[in-house]
Amino acid sequence: MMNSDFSLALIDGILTQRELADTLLSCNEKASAYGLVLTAQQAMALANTQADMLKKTGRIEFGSGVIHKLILAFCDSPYITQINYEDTLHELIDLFYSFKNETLDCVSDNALIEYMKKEFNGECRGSLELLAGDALPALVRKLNERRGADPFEKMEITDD
Amino acid sequence: MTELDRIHVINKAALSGANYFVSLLNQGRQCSLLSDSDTEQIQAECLRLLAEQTEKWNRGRSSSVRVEKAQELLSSILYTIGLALKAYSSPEDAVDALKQEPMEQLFQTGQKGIRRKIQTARLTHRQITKKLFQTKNVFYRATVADGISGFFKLYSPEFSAQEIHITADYPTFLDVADLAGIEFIERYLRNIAYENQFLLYFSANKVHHLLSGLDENYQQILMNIYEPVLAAALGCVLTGLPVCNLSCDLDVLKVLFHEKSAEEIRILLSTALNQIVAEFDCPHGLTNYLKSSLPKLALSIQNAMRLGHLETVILTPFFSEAKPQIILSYGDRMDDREYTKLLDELMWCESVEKKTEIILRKIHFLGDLLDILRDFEPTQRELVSMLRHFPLEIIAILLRQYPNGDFLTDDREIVLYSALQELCAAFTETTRAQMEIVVEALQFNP
Repeated sequence: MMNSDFSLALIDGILTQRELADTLLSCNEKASAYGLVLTAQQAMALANTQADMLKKTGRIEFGSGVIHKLILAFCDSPYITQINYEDTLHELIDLFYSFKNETLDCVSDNALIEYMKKEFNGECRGSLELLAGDALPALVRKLNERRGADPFEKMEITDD
Repeated sequence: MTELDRIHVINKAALSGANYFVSLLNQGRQCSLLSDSDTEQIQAECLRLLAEQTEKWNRGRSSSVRVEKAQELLSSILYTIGLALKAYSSPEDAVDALKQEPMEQLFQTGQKGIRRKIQTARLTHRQITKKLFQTKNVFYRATVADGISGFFKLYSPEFSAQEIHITADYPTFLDVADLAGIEFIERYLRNIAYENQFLLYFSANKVHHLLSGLDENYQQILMNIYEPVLAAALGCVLTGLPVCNLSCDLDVLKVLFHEKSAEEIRILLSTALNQIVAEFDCPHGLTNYLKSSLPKLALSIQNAMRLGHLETVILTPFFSEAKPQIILSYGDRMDDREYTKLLDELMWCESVEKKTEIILRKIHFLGDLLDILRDFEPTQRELVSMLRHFPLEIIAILLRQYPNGDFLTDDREIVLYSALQELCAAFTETTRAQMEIVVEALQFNP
C-alpha cells in the first residue's frame, strides 16, 4: 500500500534526474556556439550535483531548476573552455545554492546568477576561488549592512 | 443520496479537526473508499499546487525554497483543502469530492471559506472589543483585544492558513482543541464572546472582589475569569443569595455537594443555571455555552470537595480595602548643602554607634533616609550593626521598600537589601510574623 503521508520527500518524483539531464542537454544548442558541449554522462553528473546540493542546503526545487540558467548565462564566458566546462558548472551549482541560503533568499535566482557572472568575468577573472571567497561573501555583507541599517527594509536585489 | 440513505463507514472520531484532509485521506484508504491510484492522483495534484503556491509566494523569483518554507506552504494547502472538505455533509461525501473534484478547485473553495471566516471573526472581534468586560487582569485585554488584532494583521490565508501567529495566552473556560488557523481563532472568539457576554451581567467591582478572593494579585495571573464568576453565581442561587453579589454561603454549599458524584453536582448546577438564565434573560447561544460549561465545572467542584478545598473553585470575595493600610510619604527632602554636610560627617565618622545616632537625629524624612543609607556606602556588616539600633517601624519601612533583591541593580542597594535580610534572619518568629503584617499594610504614596 502506498504512503498517504504528505511528506516533501514525494517531491523527488516531480522531475527525475533523467528528465533534468535531458533539459541540460538541450542547452548544448546554444553553448556549442562557444565550443562548449555536455555529454549525457556529464549532464547526469550535474543533475546529481544539483540534487546533492539541494539536500545539503535544505532546499526543494520545483521545475527544471537553475542549472540550465547557469549554463546559458556562463557559456559565453571567456574563462570557460570545454576542458573546465563541467568542473566549473559543478562549482557554480554548489556556490549558487550555498549563497541562495547565505543571502536568506533575498536575491532572486536571475539576480544571483547575473551577479555571479559579472564578478566571475570581471574582478575574479575566471577564478572560482575568488568568486567563492571574496565576491559572494561581499554580496552577503552588503545585504547584511542594509538589513542592519533598517531591519524592516525589504531586502531585494532586482533582476534588472 | 440523502444523509439517511448513506452508509457511514468512516470513523468520525478518527478524523482530526486540525489536520482534516490527511486524516480523511487515511480513513478513506482504510475503509477502501480510496484506492492507491486515487491517493497517488491526489498527492500529485497537491504537489502541483505546492509548486504553484511556491512560485506565487516568491513571485517567480526563485525556483527553489527552503524545506521549512515548502513544508509550511504544503501545510497551508492541506489545511485549506481540509476546510473545503469539512463543508460536505458527511466524511463519505468529502471522500467522493476528493475523487471527483480537482484539488485546485477544492483549494479555491477552501480559500473562499477562509475569507468568509475572517470576515465573521473580525465582526465578532469588533463586537467583543466594543463591550469588553472591564477587568484589571492584564491578560484579558492583552489577548482578547490586542493579541487578536495582531492575528488579523499577521494572518496570511494564502500562504500560511494553518497558522495563528499569536499565543492566545488568555485561556477560555472551554478549551479550543484540535483546530488550527482561522478555525481556531473563530472558535476562540466565539468562546470569548459568550464568556464576555456573561461577565457583563455583573458589576466589574463585584468581579474584582471575587477574583481578589483567589489572589490579591489576580491582575497578573493567567487565569480564566468566567469560571469563578459562573461558579459563584451558581453558588448564590443554590444558597438562596442574590446572584449579582457573587457572594455565596460556602458552608451551605459544602453540605449540598457532600459526597455527590460529578453528575449529581451537574444536575444541581443545571437547576441553578435555569434560574440564572431566566433572571438575566440570557440569549440562546449564551445559554448553550453556559450549559456546556457545567460538566467541567461539576468535575472541578467534585475534585475540590474531595480535597476539602471548595473555596478554590467557588471563591469568596475579598475586600482588600478593608485591610489596615498605612500610607507613607517620602516627605520633603533636606537642603542639598545640608545633605552633603551630613554625608561628609558620616564618611568621616568611624564609630557605627555614632553614625546611627547622627542618622536618627538628623534625618527626618523617609526619602532622605533611603538616600543616605545608600550614598554613604556602608559595608553590609556596618549596616547590620546600624540597623540593629533602628526602631522596628523603620526596619518595616525599609523591608517594604526592598521586598526582594531580584530587580536590584545598584550595588549599594543590594548591600542594603542583604543587610536587611541578615537582620531579619536574627528576629524571633513572633517578631518576624508581626513584621510581615506591618510590611503588608505599608503603602507608599508616590
